[in-house]
Amino acid sequence: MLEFDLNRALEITYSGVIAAFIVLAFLIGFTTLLSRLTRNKARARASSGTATNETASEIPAHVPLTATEVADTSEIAGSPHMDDWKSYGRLEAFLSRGVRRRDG
Amino acid sequence: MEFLRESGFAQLDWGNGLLILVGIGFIAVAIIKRAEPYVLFPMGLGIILTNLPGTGLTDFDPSGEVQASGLFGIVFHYTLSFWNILPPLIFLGLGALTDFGPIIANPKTMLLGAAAQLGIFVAFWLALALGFFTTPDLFSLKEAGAIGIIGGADGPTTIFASAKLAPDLLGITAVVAYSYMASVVFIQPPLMRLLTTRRERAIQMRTLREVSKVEKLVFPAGAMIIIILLVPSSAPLIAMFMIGNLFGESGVVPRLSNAASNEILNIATIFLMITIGAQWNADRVLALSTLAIMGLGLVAFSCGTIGGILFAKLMNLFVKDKVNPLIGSAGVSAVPMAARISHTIGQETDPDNFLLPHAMGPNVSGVIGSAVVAGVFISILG
Repeated sequence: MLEFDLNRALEITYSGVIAAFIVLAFLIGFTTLLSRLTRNKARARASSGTATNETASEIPAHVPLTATEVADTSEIAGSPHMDDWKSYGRLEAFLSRGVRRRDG
Repeated sequence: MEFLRESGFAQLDWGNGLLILVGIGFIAVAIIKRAEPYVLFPMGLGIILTNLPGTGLTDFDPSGEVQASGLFGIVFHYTLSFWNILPPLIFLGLGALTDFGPIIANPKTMLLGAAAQLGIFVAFWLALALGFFTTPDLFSLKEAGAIGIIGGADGPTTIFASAKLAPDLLGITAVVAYSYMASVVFIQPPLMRLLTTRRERAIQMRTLREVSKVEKLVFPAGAMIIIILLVPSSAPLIAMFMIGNLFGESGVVPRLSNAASNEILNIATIFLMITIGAQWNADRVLALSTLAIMGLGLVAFSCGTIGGILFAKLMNLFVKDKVNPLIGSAGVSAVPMAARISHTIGQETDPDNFLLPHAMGPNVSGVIGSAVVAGVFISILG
């Protein structure tokens, strides 16, 4: 009985670990492909002079976005299960101070 | 006198009294401390009500007439243990509130969301080991699976898996998951400081690129198809999560998006939390297994945190753009508290380090990762 359970427990463990990594690895591949396709499209548009602000643009490292943009990057607000985001206003204010300090 | 003998006062025992006090405690914490009020407040009410004897509120007899069954018993049976529709409905709302931008901008951080699922497997094995070394048959394989999922640090996923695998433990696993999610601010920082050097905590990550609307639309649709094809049993959670997200990102169905993230989410929360609270019956809760689940939940959260941080350090051996290991701990889900903790601890070392957007990647990936692992558990054990 124990041996049977042990086998199933092992099966669950390796299946779970493999599934989690495979799924997320697939998603990484998919996202990378998607990003390349959209960038190529954006480049093609830019070269034909019809670039839009939907273009995925690189921002130099460590140059902070505006505080609002930083907050928007991870916008999840208003959910009972994510109530903690109500403190996001305070975080945004904090980030604004950081940006101003650096600008100054 | 017959009336007095049949009253709740006559049937009340010390266990009921103790749990009514626990319920009042939940409500007090929600009101005074404002800690997880949307969870603790309705749950506290459920706990109080289920421990008032003689009400039959949680009774459910499938063979009897529906009118003879209790209100919470019916809700529990049809929305959780039988159809299990409340957690997916909550995922619909959460999907509408989620932004996949950070994942799309830096996809490699998704691996951290997978690594942080370590806690699930550690808790699963420890639950089995507890039964082996202490009380025989303390937890069955299914129960160990339900306990392990607590390590995913995702309330609806824990409830979904528990309802399928071990409905008797649902009340406890849900409360433990939500309690530790609210407590990550105490659990994670010491481990994060212990496992990282000051130099690692100061790593500034490359600012995330802007993500186009096309990417934000194609990602959830593609991810939904890929995940469901790979792990079909995760479909109820993943499909609803992605549908909710597509509602929001499409921009053409604002009423549906608003309904998902407000009305549906709120209605589902009311029934889910009161019903889970109503599972806190004295006979069920006052047991050795409850203490064991609480301990295992803590181990699960800690190991998830450790797994994410160590995997980030491992990644740094191979990647050109270094990852701040602090964002690894956000892979345990607990959205968005875990991401905020990564940011806060990073700023202790360097106030100009903005880790929050980077931490949201593993944070949201953790939600996907735990739903996938729950799907695997259900497909093998369910």
